[in-house]
Amino acid sequence: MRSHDSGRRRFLSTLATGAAAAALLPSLHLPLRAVGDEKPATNIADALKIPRTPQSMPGRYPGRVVEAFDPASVREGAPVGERANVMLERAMLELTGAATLQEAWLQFVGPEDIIGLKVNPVAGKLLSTSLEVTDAVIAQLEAAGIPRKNIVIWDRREFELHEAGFTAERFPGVRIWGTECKDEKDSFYDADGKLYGEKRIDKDWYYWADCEESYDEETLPYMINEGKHSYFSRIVTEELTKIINIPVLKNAGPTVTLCLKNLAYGAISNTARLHKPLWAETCAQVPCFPPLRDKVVLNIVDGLIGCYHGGPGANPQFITPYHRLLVGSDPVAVDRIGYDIVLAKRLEMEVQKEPSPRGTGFLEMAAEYKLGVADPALIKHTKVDLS
Amino acid sequence: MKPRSLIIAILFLTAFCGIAVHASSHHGPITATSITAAASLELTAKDLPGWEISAPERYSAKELYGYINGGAEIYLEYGFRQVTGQRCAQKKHELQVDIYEMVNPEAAFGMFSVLRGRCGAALPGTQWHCVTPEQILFAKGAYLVSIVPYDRAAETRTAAMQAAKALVSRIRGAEFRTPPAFRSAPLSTSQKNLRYIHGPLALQSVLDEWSQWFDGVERFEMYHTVVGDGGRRTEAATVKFRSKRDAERFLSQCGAPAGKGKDGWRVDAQRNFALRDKGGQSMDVLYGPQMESLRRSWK
Repeated sequence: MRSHDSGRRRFLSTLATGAAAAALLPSLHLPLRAVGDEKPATNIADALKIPRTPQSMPGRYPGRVVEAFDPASVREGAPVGERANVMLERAMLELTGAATLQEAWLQFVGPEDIIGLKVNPVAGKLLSTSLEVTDAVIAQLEAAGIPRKNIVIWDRREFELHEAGFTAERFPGVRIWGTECKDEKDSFYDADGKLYGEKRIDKDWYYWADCEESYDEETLPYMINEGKHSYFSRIVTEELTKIINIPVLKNAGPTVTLCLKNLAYGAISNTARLHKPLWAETCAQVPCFPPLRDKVVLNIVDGLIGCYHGGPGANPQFITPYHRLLVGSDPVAVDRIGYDIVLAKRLEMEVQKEPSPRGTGFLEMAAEYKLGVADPALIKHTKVDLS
Repeated sequence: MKPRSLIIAILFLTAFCGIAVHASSHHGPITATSITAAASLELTAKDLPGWEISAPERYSAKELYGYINGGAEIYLEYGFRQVTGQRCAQKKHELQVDIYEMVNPEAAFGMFSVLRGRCGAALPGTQWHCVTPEQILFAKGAYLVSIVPYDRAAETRTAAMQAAKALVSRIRGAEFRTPPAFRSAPLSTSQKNLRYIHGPLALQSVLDEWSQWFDGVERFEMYHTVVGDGGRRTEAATVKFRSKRDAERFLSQCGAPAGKGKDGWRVDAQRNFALRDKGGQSMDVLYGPQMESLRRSWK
């Protein structure tokens, strides 16, 4: 991504200033500029100035989402790999209209690409991106001619990847990579007392927001740095050429944590300061930066097993088999369809009485940034029923 | 391995956190006393004969963020001291036991009330329990206990129940007691729906519909329940604010009428909404079609 060097440097000199005070409550509110809804300033304007590329979000298929459904995809509480593979195959063919599966995948990636699979292992084994869906993606990439060595499974925390089952033994030949990591002695710090994670962030690329938080010594290793900057991981700025985003179909209170959230909070450091005053903004703005905007080519929501309440952590009572995969290049449209599925379940199970306007605010914001289509009326939603 | 997956639970996020904001007034270092107390609760081989029981792992409030990624904040909001996790295994069967020591029985009940779903079988020895095939959850004293069977085998479920019974009998201390308003008519019949909400994260998790009334209000305590169902579903709550300013903010945001009747209630019959200001920072709220009858009988 050297072509963006000029953009990188510009961040250093054109930061917005004069922030408003942090809002007191979670920022699921819709408009950035609603009267009385003052928010800390951010450097989103700088990101928006950087020219888009042909593969910038929303990618090849704006406003298109394919939903594959197969009731046999979960058996005795566990995903069925074989069915996941078929679901993904059918969804890819439907999305692309390609004659063969290989052609379908090659619309998004090529053999020369270094491809990152952005999974979500945050909630441990019970509610992470499933190993079965990840297997299916890798198998189909390989069948399309992508060398296994060119595939990286990544997230913020390497140890969480391991705990969720993403290990070198389970995925031989595929790199497993996390921005925050520990050594074999379980230490976050190297011999010089420096966090390993510091070497894995790129200080040329950052999301700046006029809010900050102090971290104690236990929390700092999970944040890497304090201050008003959240730095992008080197995995997205330097190492990968393409990203396939594979979040889990989960609620987060009355909203959802799907494609945009998985990317935004998974690719930068120092996130805790952002949750409260800028949750929706962070979800919509961080993916506007070229390391994500121009590299994420495909989103596959793993909805074989998800949750409708208690997310994003794994609260077993609210984990449910949705038996679904959602596939599209447009992360906003995919999130919107995912939101509707989770909302329907929440209403059915009576954990929510009615749709909350706060639930979709980040999607409308992302649509304004041209990351995709948030209006359900404009989304072409195709269902593939494998019952 | 850290059993983050089992613990947990909730909430959103990461989403809204501000980890230490509410925690600061509650948590502190793990003291010798609390370690001793926690140690006395640990499961041993005697509790589950034939099962291997791991050494306990303990995490303090400060370490919780690393332990429960995406789930720590709500525990901290309620007031959390430490969690002790143990894994139990027998051949292919596994279960995870997590004992959360909260700051008081109210906090333990509050977390329980947020986490419980549709509950099934009974667990003798504690009023506040929820047994489902996926999890046994109960609150007793200042403790919240979660037991998660990792498979659906009968022996795993039996062991989970055995572990629960052992812990119920071992936990001492005052049981959470329902506030008087919810112990007597007309609200006493709705205890299975009773929730204790202690701050914005819990509110957004279980009662988002009310969130806009609390915009800008950080510190409050609310007991909330539901009376009736379907078309008769009516909500009843008592809310206590930490400051007059917060109470006034709530009053203006919930749309309560300005004038009150002789009985102290401000009634908006059109919305089926009634509010009783009990002197500055405490209020009762009724919202739903049974508002009128409940209002007349709620003393």
